Amino acid sequence: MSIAVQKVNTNPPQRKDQVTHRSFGLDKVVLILVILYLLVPLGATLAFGLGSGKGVDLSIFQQIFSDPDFSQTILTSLELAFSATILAIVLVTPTAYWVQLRLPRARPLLDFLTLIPFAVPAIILAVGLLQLYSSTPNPLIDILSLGLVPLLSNDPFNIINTPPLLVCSYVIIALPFVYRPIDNSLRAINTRVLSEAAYSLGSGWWRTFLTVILPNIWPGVISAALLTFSTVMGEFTLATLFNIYTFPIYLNGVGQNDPHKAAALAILSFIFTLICVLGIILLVRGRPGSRRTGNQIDIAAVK
Amino acid sequence: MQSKVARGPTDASTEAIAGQSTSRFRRPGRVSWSYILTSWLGLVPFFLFCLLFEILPALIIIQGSFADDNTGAFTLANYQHMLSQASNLRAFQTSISISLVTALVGGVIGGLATYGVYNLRTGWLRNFLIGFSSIAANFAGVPLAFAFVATLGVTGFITVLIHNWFHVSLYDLGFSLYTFWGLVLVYTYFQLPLMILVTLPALSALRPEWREAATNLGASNFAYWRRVALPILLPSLIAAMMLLFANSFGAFATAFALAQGNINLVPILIQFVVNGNVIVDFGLGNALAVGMIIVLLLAVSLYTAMVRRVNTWQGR
Amino acid sequence: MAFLELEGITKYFGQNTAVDHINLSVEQGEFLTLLGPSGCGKTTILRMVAGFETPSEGNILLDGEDITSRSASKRPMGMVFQSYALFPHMSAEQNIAFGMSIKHLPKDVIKRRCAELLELVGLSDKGRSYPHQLSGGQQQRIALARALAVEPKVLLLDEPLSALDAKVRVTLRNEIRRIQQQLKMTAIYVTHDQEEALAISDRIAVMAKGKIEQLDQPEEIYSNPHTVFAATFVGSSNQFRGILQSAAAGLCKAGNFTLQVPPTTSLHDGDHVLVIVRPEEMSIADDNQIDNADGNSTGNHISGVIDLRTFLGPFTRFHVHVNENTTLTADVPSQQARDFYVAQKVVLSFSSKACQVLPLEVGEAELKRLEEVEKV
Repeated sequence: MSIAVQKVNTNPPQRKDQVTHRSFGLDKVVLILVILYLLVPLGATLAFGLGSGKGVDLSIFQQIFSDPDFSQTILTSLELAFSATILAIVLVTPTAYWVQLRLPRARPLLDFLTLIPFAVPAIILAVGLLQLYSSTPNPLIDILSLGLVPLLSNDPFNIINTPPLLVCSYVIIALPFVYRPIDNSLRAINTRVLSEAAYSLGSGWWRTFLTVILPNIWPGVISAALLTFSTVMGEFTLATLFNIYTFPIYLNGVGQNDPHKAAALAILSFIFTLICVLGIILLVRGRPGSRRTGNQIDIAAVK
Repeated sequence: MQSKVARGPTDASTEAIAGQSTSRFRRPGRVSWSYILTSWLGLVPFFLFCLLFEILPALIIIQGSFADDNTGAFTLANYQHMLSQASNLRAFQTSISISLVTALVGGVIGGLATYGVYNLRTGWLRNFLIGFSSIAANFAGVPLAFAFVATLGVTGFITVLIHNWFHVSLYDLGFSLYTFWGLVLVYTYFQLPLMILVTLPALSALRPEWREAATNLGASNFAYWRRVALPILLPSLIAAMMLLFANSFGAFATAFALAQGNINLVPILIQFVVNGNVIVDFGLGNALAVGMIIVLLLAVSLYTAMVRRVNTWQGR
Repeated sequence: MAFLELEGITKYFGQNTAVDHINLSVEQGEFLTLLGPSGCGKTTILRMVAGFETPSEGNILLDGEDITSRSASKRPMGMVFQSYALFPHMSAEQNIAFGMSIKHLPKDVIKRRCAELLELVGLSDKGRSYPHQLSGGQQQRIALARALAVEPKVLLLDEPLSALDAKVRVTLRNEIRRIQQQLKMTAIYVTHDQEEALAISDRIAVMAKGKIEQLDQPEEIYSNPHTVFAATFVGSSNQFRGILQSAAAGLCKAGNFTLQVPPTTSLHDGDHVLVIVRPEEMSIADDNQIDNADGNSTGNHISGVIDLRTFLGPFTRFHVHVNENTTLTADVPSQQARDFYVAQKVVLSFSSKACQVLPLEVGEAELKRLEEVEKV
């Protein structure tokens, strides 16, 4: 005969997903160190920029804002950013939808094209574009481009060193970060089924795209837009090589001579990036299709 | 025969509609040529754009690297020039070293930090850290350089602080922000958050059932990590580090703003010979660019191979 | 003392009582199924036995030993998951070998045993394949082999067939049963599919809201359900809600009908009851023919009009519209069903023995519960 002893576990009510994560603590320590490492330069920059030994001095911002170059370059950069963002979205979104729907076998090709910017970063792209649209004749290129390159290299459509060329190259730079969120969104919402349902009810391609698909991939589109926007606002390499006076160029110019102003401007840049990323997070949260994109907030590689 | 693992809802639905006679979506086997043609035509705007601004620039660089600057004749002189000068080779060496170092540092430290984020129970803190990582990763470029100058430059806030508190002068001790290791410090600032952002989804893809199955079969925590979790994560980690490598290798603005050209890196060198005020040598610039492309292609290929492996295992 | 004993097992999740003081005895070599709708606590019980959840109260005893506080990796249980959970970076053979290599068994023993298990599950040629190269059914077989490799004392299966196609499900459940019987392995099986449970279990525990409604052999549960939930969850049924007029004579008034039911001593006159009649107990006949018969008063006869006729292969299901609230279902062997058509006036007949009478607590909660179950 066995005596069954009733042992009542006095555990507090436990959470359903309580897994015995025996985290060995190292990861937490490293995490804290990393967070500190990321915060310290920000704090130091803030202190350096505002403080001049005798407490907070906000006059530096006054100096900055009154500089005419500041407003001019900000405007230039904003224009470029808006143009590039719109062009990127308008170019990529229908294309991604089209591929998803009609040409899935083109997807590897698209993946390849959007990976090229990793192998051809801004500096290389700039060098290439400079040579491509200089008016030096190049028969091979002329043929491959179906005559478009000579068209664009010479008057009246000469685009070398002009903002339009810069905008187009920005779109290329941003391509990986535009395509991925949009593609993820399209996958997350089962695009093909929705489209076929719309077609069967009589809706045409464009109408379906604008009224059925687009509202549902909004998080991806917004992510892509804001990433492009913040990339362009901070892009330095291409603007330097094309000699177009954008905000980062201004920042560099000022900063080389005056480290305090540089620090203040760095803070401004940071705040701007903060707003963009917050924008992504807030607009993306809780929308359909945001489950996948939420965790994969891509970064724009601005160096 | 055995059926393949189900891919997901899309396949089932296409089977269901296969019978429809609308010409818009004929399934393979009943597809008309005009359908295929129009499908590819729809991609023309995008392809054209990529052609003009992405592919042709790359092509012209490759072509130009083999061409004499003045005459346009075929020549290998550019490459000879590049490979003969020690400073050019050192530029590659430095670029590769800094990229490898920051990829490793970012990979290992960032990987551990990612695990820390992944384990966080408090939802808002996790989201905050993800957001903050996005911001930090985006902060690279000119502002970052100045931020570090303000922090650890000669009169930087922290430099001064350490001097005042500990009576130690960092720069006298040999530390300098404008050297290799200084640059590593700066680059790590955007590499770490990038690692976190890219690795977090990979960790989330680690299914809890695998852990439970391993435990059920008798594995200790250590055995689970060593034999199940880390091997499964390895491709993702390698892919992430390749991304970090490419990111660092192609970086220009941060280094430029920091040292203006006094650091010998390949992007800086290219800018110097192409846009600098001293000489203009597109031929050399092209050769250098081709060198960069080759290195980057290696990294990206490894990245792609790893991503493909991850997708295969997850049945995508 | 049975082989596996659950004593007073309880689990709270916050305010929610997922498992409510369950007592369960599983004999060695028995195939016990926990059957119930989602959220009834069956998976939680399984996970507590496996060691992935800790019971808030109660004990688990295996072969006399108290294993309640033992960690999951130290319990001699093998688990098969709904999502197979095969390690993607290992081949099928390596998956199976995993548990054995943890125990540091010699390599040749591992190799031999892997071959044996692969043959047991019928996949001898798939040892080198990786999970992504295998179909769902194949993956689950490998998962089964993997669980068996460590020679567990109890095999735990958490809805292993839910992710599979219908035909594969039937084949594989028979496989599982065959292997379990061959190895004389004690098995606890969790499912929400009552057909599955009826087909392969030695005993079934029908569960709802954290409690066991009935623990019995499949035939018993089907023909003698003890509670309304057990009766309605397992198999389909016609239901009559009414009041027991005479317990001794077996008369029940349900709506417009007076039904003849088996006499009962456990219920009293005036009790609210639910009378269940299985569709296959109903026989169908043309209305006109009955009029000519000698009006047999034994058994129950209800007239109606055929609303819907569904051919289901071996039998045909008729939905017979009786009055505005009542539609009855009759399953008739297809051979006999040929003469009947939609809109025909018919009479459904069933004996009193075919009726199961269950007490009905006509409170709000009970009616709501029935409605929920009916929706399912």
